[in-house]
Amino acid sequence: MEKIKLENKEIVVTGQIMSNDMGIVPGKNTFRIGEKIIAKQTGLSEIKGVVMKIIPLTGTYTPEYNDEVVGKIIETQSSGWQVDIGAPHDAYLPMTEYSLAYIDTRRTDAMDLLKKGDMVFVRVIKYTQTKNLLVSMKGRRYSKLKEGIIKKITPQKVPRLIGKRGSMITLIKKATNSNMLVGPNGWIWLKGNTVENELKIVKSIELVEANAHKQGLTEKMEKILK
Amino acid sequence: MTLENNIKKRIIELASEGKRIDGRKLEETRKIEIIYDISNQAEGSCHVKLGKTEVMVGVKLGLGEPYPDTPDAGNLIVNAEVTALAGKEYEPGPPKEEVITMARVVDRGVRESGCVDMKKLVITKGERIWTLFIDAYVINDAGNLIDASAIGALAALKKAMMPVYNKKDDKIEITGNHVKMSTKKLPIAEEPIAITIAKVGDYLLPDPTKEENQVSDATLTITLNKKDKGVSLQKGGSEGFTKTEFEKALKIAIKNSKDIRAQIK
Amino acid sequence: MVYKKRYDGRKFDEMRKMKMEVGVIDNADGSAVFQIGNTKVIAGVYGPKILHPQRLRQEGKGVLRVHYRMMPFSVSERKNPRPGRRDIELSKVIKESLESAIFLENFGGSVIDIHVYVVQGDAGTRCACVCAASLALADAGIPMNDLVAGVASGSVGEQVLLDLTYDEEHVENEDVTDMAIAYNENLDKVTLLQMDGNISEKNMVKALELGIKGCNIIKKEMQKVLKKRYE
Repeated sequence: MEKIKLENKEIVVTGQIMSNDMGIVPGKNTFRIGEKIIAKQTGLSEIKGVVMKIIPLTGTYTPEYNDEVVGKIIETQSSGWQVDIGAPHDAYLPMTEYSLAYIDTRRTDAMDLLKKGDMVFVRVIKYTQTKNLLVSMKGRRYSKLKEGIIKKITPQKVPRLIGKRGSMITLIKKATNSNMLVGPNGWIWLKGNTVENELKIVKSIELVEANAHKQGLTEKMEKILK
Repeated sequence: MTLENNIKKRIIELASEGKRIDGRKLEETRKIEIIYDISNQAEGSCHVKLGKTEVMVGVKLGLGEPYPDTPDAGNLIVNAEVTALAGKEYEPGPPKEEVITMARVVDRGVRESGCVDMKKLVITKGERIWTLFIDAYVINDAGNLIDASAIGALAALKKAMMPVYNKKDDKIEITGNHVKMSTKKLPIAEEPIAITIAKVGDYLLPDPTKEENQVSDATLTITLNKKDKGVSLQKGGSEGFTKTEFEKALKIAIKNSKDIRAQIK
Repeated sequence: MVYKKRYDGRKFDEMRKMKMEVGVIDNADGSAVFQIGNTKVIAGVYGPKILHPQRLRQEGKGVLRVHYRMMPFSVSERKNPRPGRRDIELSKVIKESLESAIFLENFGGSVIDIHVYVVQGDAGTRCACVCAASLALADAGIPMNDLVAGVASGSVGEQVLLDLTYDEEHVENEDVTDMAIAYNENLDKVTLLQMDGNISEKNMVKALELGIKGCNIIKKEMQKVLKKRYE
């Protein structure tokens, strides 16, 4: 059989055969049937030595330990909250993880701290095979987000929104004089000093969503931020 | 403050400066795009895009018997569904009260305005008539589903052709518009346009987006005919409108309905 | 009468013209329109997401749900919008054609919902739905071992043919057989197989082979459309 050649950073689609060489090892988002290595998802190929993997261009957010993400309270329970963080499962925030300060859980009503519809910035502290997903607000960086709104982006496009060493997001923040929090789930919390500036941020996020895989994003961004 | 409260605050703040959350002017309608003939099995059909709200509408005619109280008119059945394609909050299943209300509002617009000359849908008086079906299927919800469905209904009706009826065998010979042998158009007599206005705080926002719909205190749908006469009203939501607000809403509806009507070929 | 020449002039092993597009529904996680001849369907995917109520959840495996519906104006006699027995059966066979392609083990406790609607029907709607659903799943970035493609095959009299139209399904004075096929090429498995008609052993096998060949052609087109989205 003829050898299949694949370049680095090539667009590969779901189910596509990437290699039929037994010497190649299937990496992340790929699998092997017989001698074939097949892509599980549409994405860009990455070949490092003998390992071939896919960097997905789209897909759901899969939580990882220590991820810092924006979320929304969807249910108050007796000793904690169900939080939507855009994962295939709801996360649980136990009351004991609400803050660094001690909370007397026996005498505190969960509703007095957080309620349905509240926005939070949290850290993933557990994600297991059985899809046990826990988050925490312990730490200075994490809190209830009283002001601002949430805007969403495809999780795979988050790196483009952040840019090299944070260049893109710094550009947006500076131009709009605003605060932003972005996590790997693609949920963006934003708060501008004016509503106009917030609309500008929303526009810039939509620009990344539409142009993430194209060239010249920074120039386009500078234009709309003017 | 919950996310919803913050969004509401922003909508009001923007409105006070004459702006909307999606960047348009305060009393503007979103861009309308109509793609015709999406199903050649339908007598008339279209795909309406009102901003990012998308609805597919089809018109079908079937043979029926007249109701005893209207022996000299055809029957009209309007059905609307918000499909589970339209958003993550929708599930397949029997339509909910919101959706049934939507179908009823579209129905009343068509019926009360005399949009279709139902008298011309009689084949044999008292015995055989055409039943006119309008089916509106929402495939993406970005707010204001009623107006989008009503636009789709009118657009599909205006394009609809009459099926060819075979009297001898009492059956439909040719249906759908794919066989262009039918040259008789569905008799259209009026052009009702529905304008939904959401009340958010003290502001009246026509053609609300999904976010505006969600945080609105009340909504009002005003359906007007070509002569700016009212043919139906429907208030929704738990708050109310003052008389002054109603008058203002009516003025917006009259203006916007003209603009929209002009866009439906 | 022998069916020697197809009504629309196609070769017996030729499919109708196809048109596909992905990312057509703004709110959906993945979506696609698939058209083959005059048959046009739209599919949307939501998920993987948490499954409610809890008793429906499976541990260590995601649940796939498919809803097949016809828009009332997609057929010549208006279809009652309420789902009938046919809608429920087709939902099931479409679901089963896709289940083995999806890495459901990644999504224990979750559900993936696929909604497919026939906008315009002219035979082969279930197969078109398989294609649209596959495209929508891939568009949603759900890990799969292949894009499952589907097409109808069959025979009119002794003539085996691919991708029958409504008119061909209703040729008078001839035995007509209609075989719905979906095929997963990477697994080399036929994952949807239904047939109605009257056909010899030889022709049944021939029809299946022809269908598989058709599926592989469709899959190549599907790959192109998915790739184009990022070029």
